[in-house]
Amino acid sequence: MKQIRFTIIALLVLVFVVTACAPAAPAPAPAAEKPAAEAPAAEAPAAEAAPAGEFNWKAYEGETLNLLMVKHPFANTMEERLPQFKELTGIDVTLEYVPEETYFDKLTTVFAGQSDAYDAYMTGSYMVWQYSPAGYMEPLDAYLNDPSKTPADYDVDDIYPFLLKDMRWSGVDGEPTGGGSLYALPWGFHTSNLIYRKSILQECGVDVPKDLEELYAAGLKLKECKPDMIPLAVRGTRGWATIHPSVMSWFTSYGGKDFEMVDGKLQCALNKNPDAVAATELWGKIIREIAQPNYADYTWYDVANSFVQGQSVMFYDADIIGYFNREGSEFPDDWGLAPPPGKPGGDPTANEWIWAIGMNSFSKKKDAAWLWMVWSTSPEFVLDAAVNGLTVDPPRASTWDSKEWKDKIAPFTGYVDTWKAIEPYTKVYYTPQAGFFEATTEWSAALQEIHAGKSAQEALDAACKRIDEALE
Amino acid sequence: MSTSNLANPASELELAPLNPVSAKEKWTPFIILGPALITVGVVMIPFLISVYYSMTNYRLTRPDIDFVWFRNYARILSSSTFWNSVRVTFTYAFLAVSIETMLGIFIAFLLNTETLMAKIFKPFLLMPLMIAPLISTLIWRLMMSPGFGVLNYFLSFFGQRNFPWATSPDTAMFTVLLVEVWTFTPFIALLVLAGLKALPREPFEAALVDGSSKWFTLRNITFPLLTPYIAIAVIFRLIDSLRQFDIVFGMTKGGPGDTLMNFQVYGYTSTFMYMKPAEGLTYIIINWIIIYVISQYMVKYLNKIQSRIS
Repeated sequence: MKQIRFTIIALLVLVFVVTACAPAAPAPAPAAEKPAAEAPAAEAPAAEAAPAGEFNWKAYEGETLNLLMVKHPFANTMEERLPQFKELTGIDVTLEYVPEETYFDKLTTVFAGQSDAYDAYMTGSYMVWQYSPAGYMEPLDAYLNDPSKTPADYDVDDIYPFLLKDMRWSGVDGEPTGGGSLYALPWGFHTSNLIYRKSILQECGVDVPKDLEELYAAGLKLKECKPDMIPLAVRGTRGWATIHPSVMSWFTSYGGKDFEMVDGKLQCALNKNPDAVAATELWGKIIREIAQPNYADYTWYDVANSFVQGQSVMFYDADIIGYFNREGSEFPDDWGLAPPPGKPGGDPTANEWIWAIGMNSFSKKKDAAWLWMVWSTSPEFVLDAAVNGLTVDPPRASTWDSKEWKDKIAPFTGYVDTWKAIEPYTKVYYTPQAGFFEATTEWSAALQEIHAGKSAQEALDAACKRIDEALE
Repeated sequence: MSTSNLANPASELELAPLNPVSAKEKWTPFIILGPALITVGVVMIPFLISVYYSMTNYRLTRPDIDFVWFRNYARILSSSTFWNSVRVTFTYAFLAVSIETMLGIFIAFLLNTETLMAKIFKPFLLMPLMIAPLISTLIWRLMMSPGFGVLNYFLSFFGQRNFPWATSPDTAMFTVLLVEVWTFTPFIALLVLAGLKALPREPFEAALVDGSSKWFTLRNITFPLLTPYIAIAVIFRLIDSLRQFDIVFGMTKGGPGDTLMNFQVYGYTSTFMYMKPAEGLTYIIINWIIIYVISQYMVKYLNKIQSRIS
């Protein structure tokens, strides 16, 4: 009897321990070591070694690369063309896709574990500020400048200089992009713009808004004219992705800054510029009165879906959302694109987002990974991917100048004109610093509070307090 | 009588034990408990590492780690975000457990009958528990969508259009509690139902013979006997509610603003989104301390109840 009781108790303890305690996590990585040198580690080529000074696509034939990709049209477009890469190089490529919402969580975990599971990956412009100081991203200058690793016709000068500039950083918080090493190659970029239904604006007698005040007035008029439609769709979730496609653009046009240097220390400046705070108050009215009722729910997928399904009249977001969805929609000829509304009479300060590809500094196949990187950003690939795929906006000037691309983009009203208007002002307007995600997430939380009725000054003051506490 | 017995009474009295313990019996408890003890030991390793990291300045984007003792704890305990997370965590747990307990007991009593309805509904009782809480949350989010969700459609018949659900600070807590109660009330109902089935018949028969009313029986016999089962269910749900993550994060990621930023969401956000595991783990360890202290009191209370009943 005692034995039976003992056995039962022991089994219960085992069940309790297994179910009640957290499962054992893999041992966290030790402190990340900086890469030994900027020069890439020497790799034994699989079949044919590249003779010194001579580039050879087949240098790593037989190798297999593992890539981590966002579930994104860019990655799909590239995947469709992988047979060409295989034929050219003899390298096999396996892809792993992760949804955008959790992609960078995954990438961070991979890096923190110093894993070589992936050789190259998709990354974004702002992630360089997180990953490069810790040595997770392989600096690329040595590869780019080595004629035995980069084909002679790669033509790096054809890539828009402002895109390459934003992929370089010194690693010092507060210092602008452009200095230091190059950490990623631009794959495609987008700028924030206003996209609208031409016919509905015409029907309701509304002109295309040129600034934030006109946007608000247009939204009110559209609300009256089309009560069953959402005048304006914007992102609103509690996260960094809410800020860059619209908020950063208009905020900057009013002179707002995210950070300023005070006594050599970065300090939150969201609440400092009275014009920018007033603009935030106006944005609060916009998101309360003319944006989607469930403001805080919307990601970029929801913004796109609401427009494509005919639920919203305008959206203030990435131009490429329009590009991806226009032809498949029920009204492909009814899409219009205009510069991002901001300060009345101000410059169209379009904040940019760059999807880029980077190399894992822990990879053991760096030279092979570099071959994939130069192939998928080459002039031929970029043109083909833009014209016949969905890798837009193309990062090369030659693509924008090509007849094929011009013909492709011509039916989208305002696409080319808008790009010409905003090109001189397009850049990353954020202050590069390692706390980027925290600062922008707190900013998005402040916007949610403003949506709920808090005053802009109060919400931004509270956000700055949290951000400054975190920076310490 | 042998004189040797008198001379050495102790040796004579050192009789062989009535129940000699064999080696097998001596080692069996250790063998049985061994795997459990090893599991506990293995599971303790990440916990201890977490405690260590919570006393460092570990950032995923910085290669160097320095030991900072309790600086993280001091900073978090004095920050405005901490007290907000205390308020959110306890409000959620208190409301969730209260509503689930009342509803769970009610449902258990309803199901403790032999009617056809009870027989039909019993299998469906477990369905919410079979769905992962995060999936439940996503399903509810779709139902709550103002654009195509079915809930707002039904509410429109009652004159309520565009109910904000989780997008307003005023209704966000209500929304996540709705999902929580839908998902976990069956757990309490199941435990209480099992308790009802296990109650001895004699006190009820005696009450019937004595002519006691149903209300008297319910108040003075059923509930006291059922209390240990209810207490166990409440302990489990309280621990789970105090460390709630899936539903809250799946619904709003802690928003709108900081409305639903409880300890676990702060922990996750700090670790994976802000890449500061030291800070995130500090939140988690503080959460663990709170849960540990509360559960100790609850278990002592359960023991008191059990000894009172027996």
